Amino acid sequence: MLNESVIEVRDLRKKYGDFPAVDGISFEVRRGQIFALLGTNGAGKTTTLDVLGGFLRPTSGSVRVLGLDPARDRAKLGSRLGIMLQEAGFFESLTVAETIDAWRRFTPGARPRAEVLELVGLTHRTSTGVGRLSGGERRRLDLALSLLGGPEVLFLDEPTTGLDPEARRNTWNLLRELAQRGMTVLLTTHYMEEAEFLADRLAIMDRGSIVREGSLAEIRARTASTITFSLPAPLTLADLPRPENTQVEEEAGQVSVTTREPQRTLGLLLGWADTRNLDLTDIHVDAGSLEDVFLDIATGERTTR
Amino acid sequence: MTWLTYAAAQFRLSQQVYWKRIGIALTGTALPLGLGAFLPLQARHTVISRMPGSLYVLTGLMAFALFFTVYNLVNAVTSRRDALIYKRLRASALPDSSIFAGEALAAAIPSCVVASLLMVYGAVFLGSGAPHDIALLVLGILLGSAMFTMLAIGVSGVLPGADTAMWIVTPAMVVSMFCSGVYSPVSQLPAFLRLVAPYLPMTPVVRVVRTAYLGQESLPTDLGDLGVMLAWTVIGFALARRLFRWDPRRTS
Repeated sequence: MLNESVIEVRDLRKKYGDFPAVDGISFEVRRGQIFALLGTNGAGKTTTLDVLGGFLRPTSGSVRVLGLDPARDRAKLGSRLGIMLQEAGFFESLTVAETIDAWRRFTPGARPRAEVLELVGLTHRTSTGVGRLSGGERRRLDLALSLLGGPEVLFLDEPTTGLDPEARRNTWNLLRELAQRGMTVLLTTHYMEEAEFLADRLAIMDRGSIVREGSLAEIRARTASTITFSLPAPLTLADLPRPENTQVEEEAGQVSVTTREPQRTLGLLLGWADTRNLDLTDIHVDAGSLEDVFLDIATGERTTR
Repeated sequence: MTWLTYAAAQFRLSQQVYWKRIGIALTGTALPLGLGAFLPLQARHTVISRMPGSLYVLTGLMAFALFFTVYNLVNAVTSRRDALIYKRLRASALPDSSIFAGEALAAAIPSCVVASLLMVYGAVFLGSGAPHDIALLVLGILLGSAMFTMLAIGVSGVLPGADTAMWIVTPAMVVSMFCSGVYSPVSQLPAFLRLVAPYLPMTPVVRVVRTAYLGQESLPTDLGDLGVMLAWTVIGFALARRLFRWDPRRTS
């Protein structure tokens, strides 16, 4: 059961005219996993979610949600699928309670209103008009509606944009808890820390393609780490060893060695220092962060243009 | 949940928000109700096409009240599309067809209620008596509502947004009011309009409602009128199939 693939995307392409918004991506998400799609604006994340939500038909390739085709079997998916869109309107003239009540009427097996408002922390705004909610509160009402039917699968398009840090943390904890109870979550975000905190697996999209995919650790492992230390006097940069596949630079007595194999490079450097009886002070190893990966991709984009 | 429960839920929601936009709701109901109550009084002492003027005008305005289905529905559809509310509704378990059904019913029912109130008003204050052919009256009102519903959904596909919706609805309303025999016979229109008028959507509705009420026309005329209404319903349906959009037009 746990290894069951709940979301399957196979060689998905979606073109708008000649423009390939999504250009042949594949991934799958298993039950209870939180999968994050990261990417710059226009990378194709929302288009992917729109196809998975059944709003758009793919140009080619296939998508399956709970084994069903979301465009064709929309009715069968029903409230087994919860969707929180990036931008969707509310009836501004209704109150929070009226909105939830109206949505409960067409959500099979809907949670009680009080319960869902409690979940997203909106209880104190029950009788407030939707038009008077703050941006973050609207986002939470959005989440409340998508969770109303107790869905097995949840799609979230930038769920915490506009939330204050506390509300964001609460939302993250809620999503984690729901995932632990077996809900499968696919979210898009451009907050690195959101992906780092939440996602079991993630994919980074760039111009319609997935450029990296894996667990956080796997993705980091493929990113260059940086080893820095103070250059021992009276040595100069020319005296240092040059391990293979590294880049060595010096600035104001600080040496930085960029490497994809931090353990081997560090071993080499320490061995070299030992044999010369040198003290390497201020040694730091920075594993590549998700942000580095992201910036790498952005730089790649610039150089290939 | 059945399709019917979904459609009923959408209907309830549509009605709820309809009455919260009080400006739209008042124009959609109080305007035809006011016209229907006052204009017949002015025709009390006249005879139009061998019928008592007050009842001639009253029956015309009963039919005209149904046009407000278009007003209600075009407003609802374009404003919800602009505000990305349809996108949200479609993210729920609601089938598309039940969204249409709920919206259409919520737009048509206020107009039908206005027409019914005018009928009661006629019986109580204008001495109209009971309708001559109740079955034809019901058929005329139902088919007229269906026709206006389909035309409204079809036309809303062409409209860029809620701001411009009234640019189309208002001229159509004016043409319907003046060229379809609502308060004076089509035969009194200028010659070129006289040719077109019978084929406008409003004209057959007026004639069927009036005939059903007062018993004037013959069966073949009625069938012809019902045929014109059916044709417009089909045209509306075809337009809706081709042009209806759930999402606002992308500017990029």
